[in-house]
Amino acid sequence: MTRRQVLQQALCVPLTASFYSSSGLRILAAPDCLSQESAAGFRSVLTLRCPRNLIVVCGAVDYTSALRLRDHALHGGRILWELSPHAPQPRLFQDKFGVTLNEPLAASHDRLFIRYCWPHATLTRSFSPVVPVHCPAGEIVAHYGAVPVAIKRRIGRGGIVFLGSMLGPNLRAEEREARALAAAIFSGTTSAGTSTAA
Amino acid sequence: MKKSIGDNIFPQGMTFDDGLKLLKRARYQGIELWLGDRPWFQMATTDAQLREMRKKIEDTGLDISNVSNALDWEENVSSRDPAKREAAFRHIRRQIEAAQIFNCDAILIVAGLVTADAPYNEVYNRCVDSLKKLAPDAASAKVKIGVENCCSEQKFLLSPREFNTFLNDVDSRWVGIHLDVGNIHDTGFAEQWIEMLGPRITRVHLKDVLKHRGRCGDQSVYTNIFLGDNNWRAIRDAFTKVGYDGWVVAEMEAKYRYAPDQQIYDTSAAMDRVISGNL
Repeated sequence: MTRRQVLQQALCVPLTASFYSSSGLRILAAPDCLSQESAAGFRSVLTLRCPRNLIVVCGAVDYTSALRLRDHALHGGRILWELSPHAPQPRLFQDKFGVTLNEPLAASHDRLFIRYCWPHATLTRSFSPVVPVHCPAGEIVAHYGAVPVAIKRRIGRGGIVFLGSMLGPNLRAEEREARALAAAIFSGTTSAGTSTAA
Repeated sequence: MKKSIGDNIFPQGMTFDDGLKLLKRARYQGIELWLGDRPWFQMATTDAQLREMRKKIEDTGLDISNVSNALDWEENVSSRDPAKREAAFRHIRRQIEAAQIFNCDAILIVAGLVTADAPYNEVYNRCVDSLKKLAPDAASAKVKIGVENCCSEQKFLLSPREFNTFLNDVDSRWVGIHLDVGNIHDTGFAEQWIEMLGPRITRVHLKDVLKHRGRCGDQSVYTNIFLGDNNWRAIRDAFTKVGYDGWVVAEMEAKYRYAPDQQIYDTSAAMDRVISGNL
């Protein structure tokens, strides 16, 4: 096992460590400080209406948990998965979700924002480094410059949204546009009035 | 976005009428009028004269983006001297009246001057109290008071979070921020001010800043758009992010030793690039 793999394992979270909110939203956060900070950001918006079958994942998870998350989606569940730039798991994502993760990119000082086109058009702060994502079966929902950094795809009866730029820290920083984006994802509607189900 | 520039940039000796024609030729859409700066707009200028100014501006094909004042540096709402404070209230109320005459919905003021003799907390409380008193005037006239961030010159409200708290304390939707993206110097980043204060921005001043000069030398820190250290792409994106689509007003120091009108043309072209996002 390489040193990188050891570190990745240490940063992975087992599903049993998940957090259940009173509103029904379930948050899984890896034990590293950044994922915990991100989870705190998501907890700060838990007053928003959110569906009971939604799980937010902050950072890396272990193999078993990834399989259980996949089952959750297959059976109609929804997942918002914030990818960890510090512990990417390219093989796991490729094998289990059909998503290719490319090498994380350092955000440029004069290109600070992620451009979302779903669930509504908006800009949010990038969280460097950002993880480029690619998925032929999915739909690109955000770009950093010309690089796709978020996609959504159906899996079974449910779906997963993969975010290559962390959103939780922006929520914790009370970024207006990030909170509006989270609200739209949680509430399940787009600006066009259609469902945000992946 | 629409672009405007102040009448205080007119080359010395140029008449008001000729200045308007110059702005039109340089493809501005509006003009910022500075109370107390040029002879055509002083405290003694009558309502009838203001109406005549409006007619000239409209006949030239321009709008009035906002009414600013050059008087706050001498007569400020934070002054300990009651006479100066009363004078500040008078000229701000006159700005509101003038804005109504000009069919314009925003004014600019500089609120608060912290000095060695006027400590920060004293200035803060006095500014909040003053703006609470002025807010009903603004509301009844439907004219927004934009408090400009002259951070370094005022030594006051030095961060966007602090400015936000200040506006919360004033607690009126008729009082916001007239954001100057060149005034933040080396104490922060203009794009972060835009992001944090977005819905509260009444108007925007554009200019560039040479951050490395600081404020301790005798050279100005201000310069023309694109010649300084502002991150213009981030600034433009931040305006898109918060949905600001209003007036952007160039506030330039007259820099050209020859052909001073050329600065007005060059600024207009630079503003086009900012507005289009072609950076």
